[in-house]
Amino acid sequence: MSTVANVLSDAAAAVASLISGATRASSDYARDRDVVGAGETIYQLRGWHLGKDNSNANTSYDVARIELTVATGLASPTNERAYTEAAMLTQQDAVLAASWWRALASVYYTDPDNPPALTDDVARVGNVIVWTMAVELLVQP
Amino acid sequence: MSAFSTIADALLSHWSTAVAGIDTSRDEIAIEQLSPDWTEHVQVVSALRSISPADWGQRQQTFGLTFLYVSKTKTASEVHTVLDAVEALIKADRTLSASVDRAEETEAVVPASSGKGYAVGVLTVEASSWV
Repeated sequence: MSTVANVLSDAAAAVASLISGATRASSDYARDRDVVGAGETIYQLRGWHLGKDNSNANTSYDVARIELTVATGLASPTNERAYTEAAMLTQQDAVLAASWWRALASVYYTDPDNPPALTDDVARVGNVIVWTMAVELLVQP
Repeated sequence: MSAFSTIADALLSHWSTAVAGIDTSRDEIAIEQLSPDWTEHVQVVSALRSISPADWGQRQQTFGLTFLYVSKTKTASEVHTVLDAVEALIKADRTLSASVDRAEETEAVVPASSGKGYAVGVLTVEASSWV
């Protein structure tokens, strides 16, 4: 039986594989604890229970919401587009696909009514580009 | 190199672009102490105004910098032209967030054409940089 914690663990491994050199933040909720250097990427993963899906009479699925925030320090702050028109789009293209999440061993299904999507505009803080996406999914029973 | 040194050097480079052969200094130097053969000189006086922390370890430092420009050859009007040029270069610099104030006291202390003095221009800049 998988848990939301398993989903977070599986997602962390998948993000680290997707974004070379990316490290997980020391806090998944605070943004003032970690320093993102030039050319570095730090990500946050947050997950929590949304409820139970009992639509299948034989089993009950944990429904979870997972949020992923990616903070990347621009290697060249004056050449922002080297990231925002290249690697950033590749990374978003991957994690905004429901299949990317369904490929995680602990994920049973993604909620078609709440597919993976950015939750806010992409933002720049100093020399760091930040974006956040979220997905709602069913955990493997 | 400190953030201030980086900013000061970047801004002084705009002076070098605007005025060929200008002598630049990050230190305050009395005019009398300049090399006898100086023609154009600019020096900068600075102060750290603030440090603003932001997410992900980002910090924005803001400096106030005052440039003192002296010229043996230019008239007060020509000094204004130089200040215009430097101001435009600083505003066009995408690596800085800089606001520029033109000091009112720009003047020719002694008409440069007399050969006995120099024209003076003052340009004040507030420049911010993420570090």
